[in-house]
Amino acid sequence: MNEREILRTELRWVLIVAGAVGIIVAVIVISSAAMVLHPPSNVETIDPTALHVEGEFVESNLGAVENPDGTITARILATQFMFVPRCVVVPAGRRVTFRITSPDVIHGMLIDGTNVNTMVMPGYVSQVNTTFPEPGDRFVPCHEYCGLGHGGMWSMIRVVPENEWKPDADGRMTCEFPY
Amino acid sequence: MTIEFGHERDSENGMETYPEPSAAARPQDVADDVREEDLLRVLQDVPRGAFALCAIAVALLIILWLAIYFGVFLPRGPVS
Repeated sequence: MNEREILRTELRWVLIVAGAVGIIVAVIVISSAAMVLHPPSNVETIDPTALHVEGEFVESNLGAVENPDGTITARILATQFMFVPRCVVVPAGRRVTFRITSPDVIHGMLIDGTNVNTMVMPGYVSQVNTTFPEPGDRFVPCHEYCGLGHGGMWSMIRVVPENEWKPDADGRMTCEFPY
Repeated sequence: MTIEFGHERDSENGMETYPEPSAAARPQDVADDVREEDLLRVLQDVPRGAFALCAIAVALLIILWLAIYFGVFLPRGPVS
């Protein structure tokens, strides 16, 4: 095998690898365009030192609330070493907007069995929209090491059937203990 | 330590060796005393096997990627 043949073999392999990469990119581009998929991109700042005294992340405003248009907004505070509230109830089949922030260090939040996965940084509001097609409990661990208690930092999203979604007069519903 | 060069010997791969003096001071610096024709004969079939191995590996990679994308990622629902 002379050098020219070696070069030809390498070029053939380059074409195969380019084809493989092309297939993956094409699948991503076509499915993203067809299904309107894109990563969450919300840049919104907030004063992390005043979360508990003013604004949408005061304790009484945390958890899930039904909006006038029927969608749900769930506000969650990620703090060392717990999510507040510890359990959030949302109805299945409706668009849910999670708004999360942190008063202390960087945390992470992912919802088991879904593509919801975001970092939570002090000073910023992370926002993720999704829909839960099926009822059930979803485990929500912190996935960004945040200190010695990181391993015990988790919460739960309780997805209830539409007929069990019974919010109070303020449009809120909380998990029944124990959860 | 005395290093001797130029001894005719049979190498491990059975190829003929040729006594050639070398300027290298250590045995590991001495160039392989293999004839070009022998080298080409041995290398002739190598790329075909390597090509097949690489092709199988890449094919598996693509298949698994597609399986995870369509079997796990998309069914989990879109986020935005």
